[in-house]
Parts: sequence; structure tokens; C-alpha cells
Amino acid sequence: MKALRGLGIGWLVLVLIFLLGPTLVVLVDSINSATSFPSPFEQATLRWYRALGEHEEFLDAAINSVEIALASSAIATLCAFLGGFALSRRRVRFGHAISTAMLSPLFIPEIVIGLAILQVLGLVALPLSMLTLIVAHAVFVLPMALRLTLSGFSRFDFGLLDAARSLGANPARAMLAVTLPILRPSLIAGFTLSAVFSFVNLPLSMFLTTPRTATLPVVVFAYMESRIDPMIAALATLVVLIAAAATIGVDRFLRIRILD
Amino acid sequence: MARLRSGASVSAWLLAPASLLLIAGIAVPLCATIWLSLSPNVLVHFDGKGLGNFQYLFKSKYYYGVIIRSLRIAAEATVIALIVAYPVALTLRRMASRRASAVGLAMMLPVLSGPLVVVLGWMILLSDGGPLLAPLTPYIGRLRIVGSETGIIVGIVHFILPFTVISLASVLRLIPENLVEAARSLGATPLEIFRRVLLPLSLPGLLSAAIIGFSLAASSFIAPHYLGGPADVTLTALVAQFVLATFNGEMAAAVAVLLLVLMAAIIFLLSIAAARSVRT
Amino acid sequence: MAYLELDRITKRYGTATAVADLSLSVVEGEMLCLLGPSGCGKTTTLRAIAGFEHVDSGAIRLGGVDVTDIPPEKRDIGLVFQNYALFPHLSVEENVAFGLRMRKRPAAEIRATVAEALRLVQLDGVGGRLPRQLSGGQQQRVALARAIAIRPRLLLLDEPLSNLDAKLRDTMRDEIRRVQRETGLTAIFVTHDQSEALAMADRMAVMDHGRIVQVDTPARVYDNPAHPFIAGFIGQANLIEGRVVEASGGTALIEAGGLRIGGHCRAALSVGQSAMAVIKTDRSRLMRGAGVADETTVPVRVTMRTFLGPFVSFTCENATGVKLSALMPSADAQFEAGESVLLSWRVEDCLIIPGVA
Ligand SMILES: Nc1ncnc2c1ncn2[C@@H]1O[C@H](COP(=O)(O)OP(=O)(O)O)[C@@H](O)[C@H]1O
Ligand SMILES: [Mg+2]
Repeated sequence: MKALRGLGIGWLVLVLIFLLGPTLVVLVDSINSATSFPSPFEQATLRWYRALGEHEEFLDAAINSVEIALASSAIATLCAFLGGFALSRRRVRFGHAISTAMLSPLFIPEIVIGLAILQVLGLVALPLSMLTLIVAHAVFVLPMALRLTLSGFSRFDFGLLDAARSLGANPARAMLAVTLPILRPSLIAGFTLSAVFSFVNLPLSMFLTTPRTATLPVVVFAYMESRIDPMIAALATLVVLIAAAATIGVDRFLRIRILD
Repeated sequence: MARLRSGASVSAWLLAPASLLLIAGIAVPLCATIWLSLSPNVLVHFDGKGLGNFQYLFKSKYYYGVIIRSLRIAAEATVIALIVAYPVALTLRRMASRRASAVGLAMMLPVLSGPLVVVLGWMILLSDGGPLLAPLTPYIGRLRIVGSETGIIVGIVHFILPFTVISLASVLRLIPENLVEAARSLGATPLEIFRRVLLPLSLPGLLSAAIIGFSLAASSFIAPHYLGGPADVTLTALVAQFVLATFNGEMAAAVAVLLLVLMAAIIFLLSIAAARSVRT
Repeated sequence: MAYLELDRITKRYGTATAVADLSLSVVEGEMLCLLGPSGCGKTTTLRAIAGFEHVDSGAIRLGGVDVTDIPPEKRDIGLVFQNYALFPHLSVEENVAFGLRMRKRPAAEIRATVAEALRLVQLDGVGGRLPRQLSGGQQQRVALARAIAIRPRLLLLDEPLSNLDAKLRDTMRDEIRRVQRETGLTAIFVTHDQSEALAMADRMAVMDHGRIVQVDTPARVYDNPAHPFIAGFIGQANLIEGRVVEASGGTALIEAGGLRIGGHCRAALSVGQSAMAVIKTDRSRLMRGAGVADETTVPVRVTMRTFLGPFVSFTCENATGVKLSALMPSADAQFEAGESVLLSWRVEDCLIIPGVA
């Protein structure tokens, strides 16, 4: 038994190395002073980060990406909160079908969602805009927000709402004074992870951006078609830091357990 | 006097924003794509609406090859991910909730970091002169991984592994430890415990992990596009080609619909198997 | 004049009827216990009074005003839930203050009322803690303080003691009774535990299958169950079904399984009708030798002897297969399983009530 457990831990470590390896080499290359990419490590430097700060095109795109991420996650989290409340509170007719529908974007390729939105806009002759991107991203992150909300609601005692009402709160106040604060960690976690997923997504935005609304991944991958340099590694490292901050925040401060 | 409002109508209102989002963001757009997929175009000519585009995709040797390759790659990646994930999930099963969740989140980090980091990382690691392959060159010769089907599979496995681990582990963690203890007290060896207790009880979880893994694998666009070679086109990459290179919306739509139908069929079969595997 | 009046209320869930044409009056200031087996509709009745269930028919009047269509937050009814339903994100004080905040009372008044409510339930000093930092009994007290802090017009308690262990249950039972007396609140206490109801109630209402079968003081319900269901549900009793062979004035004689059993009766009985003899097991005793005058005596064989500490319970069976029990003080209980003895009771301890159908 003991030996088996040791093997299990060993395997887990190997898998973690496989999963995190690419991220680690990017971190290392982002502070490598060698100018050609990739190349063996020479000297530590921060010059690629400075170069990044002067690259306006990336900066503009990053602002677009942040706007889209915040707006789409806010929409998705609100939809997930209200819908999750309705689905968890009582047996809703077609409840199973509805929650399957809400999780379905998980099973539809992002590139297909992007294509479909592009084509429907083409058919009704509407131009691409920030709103298009926000809707596409909101649909895409809805399952993430919904799953965290539903797991929050699965531990929520709906009897508390009866208690609040017996004490004089109308349904809306009961929602604000009881449901919202208790669900807050799940909602913040859903919002945060959704925002990160939206921020880094490429396939969804690929068909839907215009030069004015281009997101950071779209601009970076376009740049990479012509050249790959350490500046990209610096940018990638910043993205990793954002993702890591979100992950650690969800684990440490919100105490969201993605297992159980 | 305010009558008590019926619960059903309140539920309907609460579900309205999500429904609206799904209708506007998925249902209606998909209808447009299905409509276009049935329409003639510069590549395929027919009158009115019809299945001509799909017939064309299946008849062409090249496109037929793309379909088969996509399914093969997705299936291979799913199987590999499940085999790698199962022992990890078994280890996570015995960890405290905090620990296990922290490990799960760490595994999600590359997914959350997005395609840029991953593509860059694999390009560095798997390039011919990269840190992983350079020391091996004297023994195995020059190995091309980036720009090959192997590269795609490595990329996809890397992407879907966290999802399969988490979905397997969350099912395995529901199996009470005293079932294992009972089996041990009855004289079962670790192998027998696995074969007769854990595996049968986790079968529904294994199938749902397969469903998630396969749909993410078949949906994956980044790995085929950036880690595959020009000859390794998959259905998702084909959609992108039709939109960005040949500007043929109808064919892009047909490929997208075909991909959705194939995925739905395979997910449906796996779901039936999952439903059957649940003993009540 | 009834303070709370349930006027023929009915509540159905699909085809199942949870509360059937139920009427009940509660007097101001009393503690009424709603007693009945699990699933008989107690919670549904309580939730209808509180306003959480809309009744299909009938009316609910509180202080002479029809409240049937008033939403729960406007009824001013305090509720103590079975699982307490304390807000986990709020401190004890904030929990108790919740109802007052909703009523937009001034801060100073809220502080004073909360302190008073916590003092009443003997919880001063833990106001800053979160519910999960309290023991079960303390949580129960917070739930009670929260409900009475709004000075409700009616206090409803749904099996509030069922989540406590046996010893704490007795303490909290007395506490709830004390608080209700001190505040003078009208209260309905729901329970499926007859000893709880007997101990707490000014009056008790016994419920079965969505109906009320008897309302009376605990002593009278105990001594004079109006219905075979109550006879079986309240106290440990020997129930012997038979047919009336003689009935006159306040006494009757029934024949059951070859036995002739006499007793007193309250309802009018007619010869030939089905009836039931009810004899509390603690009024039954075992003896050896001959019978005694004024007692009904049945020859039986002891099938099981169960030692209960101060008492011993005997399960017996007569020749025709009628099962009878006796509960005797341990000091007088020198009988063994398998022994043939006489089981007897005084005629005035036997009550004859009409049968089920
Ligand atoms: N929301 C509901 N939906 C369907 N049936 C219900 C519901 N609530 C209660 N019932 C049924 O109504 C009956 C009475 O339930 P309840 O009032 O909870 O009983 P008690 O509190 O006396 O145990 C039970 O048979 C129960 O199954
Ligand atoms: Mg109940």
C-alpha cells in the first residue's frame, strides 16, 4: 500500500511538471538577454518587459481585452446568479434541460460560436462592434460562472430566505441581505475565472474583431505570424502572473474548493 | 391586496437573462450558420437549399481525410488523457479537500494562462534545438514534433488533462473510504480493490470525463493550428481557413455544422453508455 | 373570541392533500401544541399560518383580520425553524437585529431590543460570535431570540427540539415555555413527540392525515382519547378491538377475541357497533393466583420482559392470541418470560371508544 501511494505521488508530480513545464520555460525565456528566440540562457534582464511597455499596439489591445473581460464576466455572473438561484431553489419544469443548455457552450467549439455570430450579423447586416465581442465572450464564460454558482447554491439553505421573510424582508431584500452575501465567494470566483478565460481567449475573437476592437490575443498571434521574440515571452509571463493571481485568490481568499 | 406570486413565474423571470443571452449568443447565430451551410457557393453549385456542401466534403479525398484525422486525433488525445488522469485522480481521492482542490487549481493554471503561453512554451520545449530534444538528438536523431500530428496530440492532451483529472477526481472522491476498508477487511488486494470496487463505481465518472475530454479535444483549435504542420489540418483549422483564407462562408458553415453533428453523435453515444453504467 | 382562527383550510400538492379542511382556534396568550406523526401536515399548516404556503381554500384570521392573502413579511409572525435557519454570515446580534432592521427601527432601539432579547434567552455575552461558533442549544436560543425580538403577534415553532440531544431537549423545553410565559406571546409548537406536547401545552391539538382529531388540555387528551388513533398515539396503551354487547349510561361492555371487557365511555355507543377498549399499560399489572373484584383479569403468558430502569415492561399473549402489555415498577416486577400469570386492570381504568369504522 505504501509503495503504491509513493508511486501515485510520483506520477502526480510528473503530470504537474508536464502541465506546468511550458509555462516555466516561458518565464525563464522572458528574462533571457539573448536576442534570438529561443536560445540558451545567457543573462538575466528586464529589457523585454521595458520593450513591452513601449509597444502601443499591445497596450491598446490589452485595454480592449480588459473591457471585454469585465463586461462579459459581469453579464455571465449575473445570468448565472439569477438562473442558478431559480434552478437550485425548487424543481423547475425542464430544469435539467435548462441547465444543460446553460452549460452547452462548453461543448461547442469556440471557433464555431465566433463563426455563427459573424454569420448572423452578416445576414442581418449589422456591423461588428465591442458589443458583439462582449456577447460572444459572455456566452462562452457562462458555463464557468454557472458551475461555480450552482456549487455555491448546493450548500445554500433556502430556508434562510423563509426566515428572512418571516422577519419582515420582502423577496428582493431577502435576496440582497441574505442570498447575495452568502453566495459572494462563489460569485467573485465565477467572475474572476470567467474574466481570465475571456481575457486570454483567441478562437472566439478571431473572426469578430476589427482593427479598433482587436483583443490582445488576436494582436499577439498576428504579430507572431511574422516573428517570435523574447518580448512575447515577457507578455506571456505577465498573463501567467494574472492567471496565477486569480488562481491563488480563488483558493486562498475565497476558499473555493473546485473538488467537493 | 397583493396575492402571493406563484413560484413558477418567478423562476421564469430569473431564468430570463440567461435564456436571452443563450438565444441571442448561440441559438440564433447557429440557425444562421445552419442556413448558410445548406446554401450553394463558389465551390459547390446546386439549386435552392440542400446538402450539397456536405456531400462535397465527404466525396473529396482531402476533406474526407480531414474529417477522419480530426476524429482520430481527438479520440487518441482523449484516451491518453484518461489513462494519464486516472492514477492522478486516485491520488487526489485520498487527499484532504483543501490540498486536492489546490492541486486541481494548479493544474488549471496553464488553461487559465491561455494559448499564448502554451504555444510559446511548447515551441521552445519541442523545437529541434530546444532544451528537451537537443540532448536526445545523438540517440534518436532529429525529431520533428512541432509541425507534426504528435505535436498536436501533445498540445491537446496538455489542454484537456486538467479537465479530465478534475472530473474524475470529483467522482472518485464521492466513493466513501469505508467501502475500500470493507473490501480490505474482506481480504481484497489493492489490485482487486481497484478492479472490483473503485473502477466499477467510477465508471460513470470515467465516461463523463471522456465526454468532456473528447468535446474539448474536438473543439481545440490552438494546438492543431500552431503545433501541427500544413498537412495536419483538422476540422476547426479548416473552418478558420475557409473564413480567413478563401472567404467561403457557406463552406465554413458546412464544416462547422459537420463538426457539431459529429461531436453530438459521439457525445450522445458516450452519454448512453454513462447512463447504462449507473446502477441504481 | 379566538385570536388565531384557521377556517377550513385545505392545501393540496398535486393529487395529495397535505391539509384537509382543517379548522382550529387559538386563544390569546396560550401555548398550543400541534401533535401528530411525521407527514401528517403539521409543517404545512404552520407554513400556511406564516404565509409561505398559499392555501387552496379556507381562510386564516389573526386578531380578527383576514390574513390569508398577506405575504409572510407583512404578517408579523415569528418563526423558529427546525434547523434554526440562522444567517451564517451574520453575528448573533446581527441575526437578532435582522427583523428590526427590516422594520427600519432607530439604531438605539435596535440595540436595546437585541440586548433584551438575548438576556431573555440567557445569551448575553456571545452577541459578537458567528452562529457556527455556538453549540446546538445556543443556536436554538438565538433562533428564539431572533423570533421574539420583532415582538411578533404570534410565535410558531416547528419541531425546535428535534436536533438536540436528549438532555438538552428537556432544558430547552422548559426554557421555551418560560420565555413564552414571560413574554405573554401566543405560540403554536409543532412536535411529533407526545411527551414534549404533554409537558408544554396549555392545550394540544392532535393531527392525523391533514385533519385535527382532538383539541383539549393535555390531561384530558391523555385520559380521554376521542379517537382510536389518539389512543394508539398518546401514551402506551393496550388497544383491544371488539363489538359492543351492552351499553348503558356511562358504561359499556365489549366482546373481543373471546374476552368480555367492561369500561366507561364518553360517547354514546349502541349495541353491535365496533368499539375499542383502551387501557394504559401503566395501569395494567401482572399477578399470580386468583383475580380481584372490580378488576378485569385475563390469563396470559409472558412472552418478553424488558428492563427499563425504574420500570419493567412485560409483553404478554393470551390463549386466543391477543397481545397485551403491562408496565410495572421494578420492585413489583418479579415475573419471568414464559411464566403463566394474570394480567389485570381496574374497570374504571378502561375506556371504551367508538371503533374506526
Ligand atoms: N412541497 C411539497 N410538495 C409535495 N408534497 C409535499 C410538500 N410538502 C409537504 N408535502 C407532503 O405533504 C404531507 C404533509 O407534510 P408536512 O406538513 O411536512 O408533514 P409534517 O410536518 O407533519 O411531518 C406529506 O405527505 C408530505 O409528503
Ligand atoms: Mg414537519
